[in-house]
Amino acid sequence: MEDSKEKHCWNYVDIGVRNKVPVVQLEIIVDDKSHSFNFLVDTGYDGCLLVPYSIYRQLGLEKFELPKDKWGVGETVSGEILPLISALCKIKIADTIFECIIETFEGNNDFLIGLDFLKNFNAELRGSKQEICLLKC
Amino acid sequence: MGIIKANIDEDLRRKLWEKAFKKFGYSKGAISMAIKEAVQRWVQEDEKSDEVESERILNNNAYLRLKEKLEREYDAQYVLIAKGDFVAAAKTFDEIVKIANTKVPDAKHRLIFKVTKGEIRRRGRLGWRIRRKSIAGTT
Repeated sequence: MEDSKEKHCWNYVDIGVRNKVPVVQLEIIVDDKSHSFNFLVDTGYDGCLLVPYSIYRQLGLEKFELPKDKWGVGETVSGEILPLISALCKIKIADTIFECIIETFEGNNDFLIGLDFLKNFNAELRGSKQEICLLKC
Repeated sequence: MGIIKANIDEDLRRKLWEKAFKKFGYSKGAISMAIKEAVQRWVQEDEKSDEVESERILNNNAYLRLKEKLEREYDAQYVLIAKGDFVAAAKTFDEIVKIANTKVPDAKHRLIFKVTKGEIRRRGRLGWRIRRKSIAGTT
């Protein structure tokens, strides 16, 4: 990971559920082009990034795919088991660029940041200010 | 020319009419032109999907065939497999992507990964799928 010691903060976002949620904006870099998306921080997801299947296809991530035997297998809270189509990509958050495995599955519409991503940062949830801050470890 | 009869829901039909008239003008053939364009796009997308899937199978078969060799000769390097064959290895992700764009720019599917010995398939959690929405009396 390239060095950046700055702390970056994002306001919680109303996504139509009861409480506003911590959302982080980051860029997926494909062939030198950056594509910016907002990702919900979800500690219940233990991968790096999960994107909707349609976005995976639109970005052409099948050209950066991992072999099938390196794909993870996802388990939903209801116990459903799904193979996770996985691709290796560079992502940019604030001034920091690093490699990350982007996952998806057919039918997924969520943008999630998981524990694999968060392990690179000290994450602070500031409830009173309704913001999330990330500081590179 | 063939005639297609189909049932679509009212909301989608209204949107189709709005878009078609906006794009092709208030002419008799506007709806036909819009449907033709939509079907062409869907067919193209579906064909592209089939191509990706057949190359995915080809590349994964090549990977399984080459796996031991790759682990022996390219440990900790980034490897590129496309069109059913090993293409190159490189020390960095940027390098291998550059090689991929030069050597196999027309591939619909490529495998790019870092070779690591004895890695096992990960089983992970997919996040909390239950989201509570505000309804009367629950805030």
